[in-house]
Amino acid sequence: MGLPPRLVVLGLSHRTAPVQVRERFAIPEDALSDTAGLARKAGFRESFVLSTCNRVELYATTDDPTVHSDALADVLASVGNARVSTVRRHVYAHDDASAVRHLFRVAASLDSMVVGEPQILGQMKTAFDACRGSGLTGPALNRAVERAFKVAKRVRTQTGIGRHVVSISSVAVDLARQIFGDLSTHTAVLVGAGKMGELAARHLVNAGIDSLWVANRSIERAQKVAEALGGHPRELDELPRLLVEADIVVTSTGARGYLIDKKGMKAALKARKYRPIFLIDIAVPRNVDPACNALDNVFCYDVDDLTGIANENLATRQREAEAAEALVAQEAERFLRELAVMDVKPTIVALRRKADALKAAELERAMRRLGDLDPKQAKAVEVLADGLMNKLLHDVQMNLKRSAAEGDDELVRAARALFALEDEEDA
Amino acid sequence: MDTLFAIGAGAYGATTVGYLASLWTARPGVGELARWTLRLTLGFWTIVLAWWAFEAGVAGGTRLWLGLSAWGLGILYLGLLRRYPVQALGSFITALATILATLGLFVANPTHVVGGPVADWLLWVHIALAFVGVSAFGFATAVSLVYLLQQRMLKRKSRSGLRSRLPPLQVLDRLALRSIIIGFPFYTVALLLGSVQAVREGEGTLKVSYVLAVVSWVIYGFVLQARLVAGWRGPRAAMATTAGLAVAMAVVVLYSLGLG
Repeated sequence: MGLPPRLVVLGLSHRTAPVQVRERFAIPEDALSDTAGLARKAGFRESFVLSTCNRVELYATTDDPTVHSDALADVLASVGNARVSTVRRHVYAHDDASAVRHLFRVAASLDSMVVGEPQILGQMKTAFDACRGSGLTGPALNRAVERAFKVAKRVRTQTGIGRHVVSISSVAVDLARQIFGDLSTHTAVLVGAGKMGELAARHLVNAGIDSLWVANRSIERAQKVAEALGGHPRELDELPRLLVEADIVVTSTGARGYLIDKKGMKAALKARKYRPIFLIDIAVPRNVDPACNALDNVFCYDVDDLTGIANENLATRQREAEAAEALVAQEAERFLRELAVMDVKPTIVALRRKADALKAAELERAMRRLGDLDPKQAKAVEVLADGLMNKLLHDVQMNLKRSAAEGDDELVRAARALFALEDEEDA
Repeated sequence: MDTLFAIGAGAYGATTVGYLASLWTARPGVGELARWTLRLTLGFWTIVLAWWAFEAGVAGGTRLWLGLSAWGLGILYLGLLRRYPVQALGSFITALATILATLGLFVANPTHVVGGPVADWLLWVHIALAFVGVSAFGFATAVSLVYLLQQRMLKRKSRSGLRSRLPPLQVLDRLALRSIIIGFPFYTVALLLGSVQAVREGEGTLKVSYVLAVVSWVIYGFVLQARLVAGWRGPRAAMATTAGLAVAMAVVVLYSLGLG
């Protein structure tokens, strides 16, 4: 009787290895299948490699009890051109049920540096497609990884793990969406060219704003930043006019004192016919008078407001992660039960085949002994034989499935021995 | 019939509870359940209203009018869900529908109608137009209330998860304006026909309910003018819209209870 394939995973991640180690073992996308191929050469039946900035993992299956995750450590050592002892200091390994749970957790972004980040699922899909396209995966790995994708989707839809953004820039974009909805018809202005402001502006550009102006005291610097962001440079003196035209204003200058005060904002608001305006003040000291927030249709957030929301969102994600962990554990349990039932399938098929052969032989002998039977009588004998066989085998099959689902393979082994199925299969 | 109306109003109430729960928990399953409850309620309500229209005829117009407005709000909301991310509006819309349906319970007795077939016909048109007008204003008000809530949370920099579940301010502002644009002409003609009917019945036009109806019309006319010409938007427009419906609802209550 062939043993069911074991799932094995070996990897290193942000939890076990610092960035200087991770970068050494990082595998480019076009080399993923080559690395998976090395695992196959090491004796594994199927393999798949995942490499992101936070983790490198080798997933493989084997039905050979002598092949262990150690062999995957050798593969990883050859990838990083490192000693196996170095690899062993930073890796973790999981087998069977533990490997399935790990796979599901990684896909659901529960093992990510920022829990709930959505990129990991896309990265896994790309990596898996590359390895499957090269014929390196098989039924066992395909089943496990595809289920992991489904579980990840379920986690995203049934928990709030990915619902709240956790970086200051993302919070700013999120708030802009809550004010304006679709950003593609709105314009933004970045005042100043500080790093934080540039990052927030980049998020707005990526969110699809219609156009971006960059206003700075030094027009050369404005030009440089605008070029990098795909925007248009403006002189800082143009700010009053820009406040009338832009819907989102990101301020990030080193100016002491307010660049935008309540009086100026009131005038701009009147000129813009009270269209809403979102002021994102990332500068310290602040560039926008917080009193502007008291004006109707003006929404003013400073860096503390944004950080507060980001922290709250992070706490919410952590709370949702607990629900997600429970869901993943439940799904892993179910998947393992299904696998166990599938493992018993060859035994049941062999049993039925053997019973069918016996029935056919005995029927033929009985028919010969009974002599000339009319079709109705012959049919009755056949139905009798079928009925006896099905009733006898029904309980056997059910008990085999039940014990497999409970993780007990003793009964399967006993059935194969009692009915001499091994011999028959070998024959 | 009263029992069926009570069940219908109760169903609207249950739908409101469902939508509030979905707003609170943010679980997609709860929202889906609330949507199905609303669909079933609307199906049931359609049968009840058809039955009432058949049984009471034009004399049961006030209850029919209230019932149709509650029905129209639900239908409008389900239609908008296909185009806008306004799931969170459900609790406000169904709450308003619950109020309208409950008010309908208090006008159980068919009203006295004089004037023959022409008056009947005028009353039917009046009911139909007023139904569209008040439904649209009711929708605008529900949207405006959500606007005020969302605006308040954004202004106060609320960290509540509810903020991210409510629709964007500009979407709400646009929806409220469009609803008033649609409802106003219907309400205007309904008001004119109502006056004609009142004169025909010899009731005159100085009853409190009629005066309040004109006041609500003036408020909506003002809101429309201010928004389209002077560029009014935001919290002021939302508050004026809510005030308009409050007056219109006072008309309904007074008329329904026979006090105006």
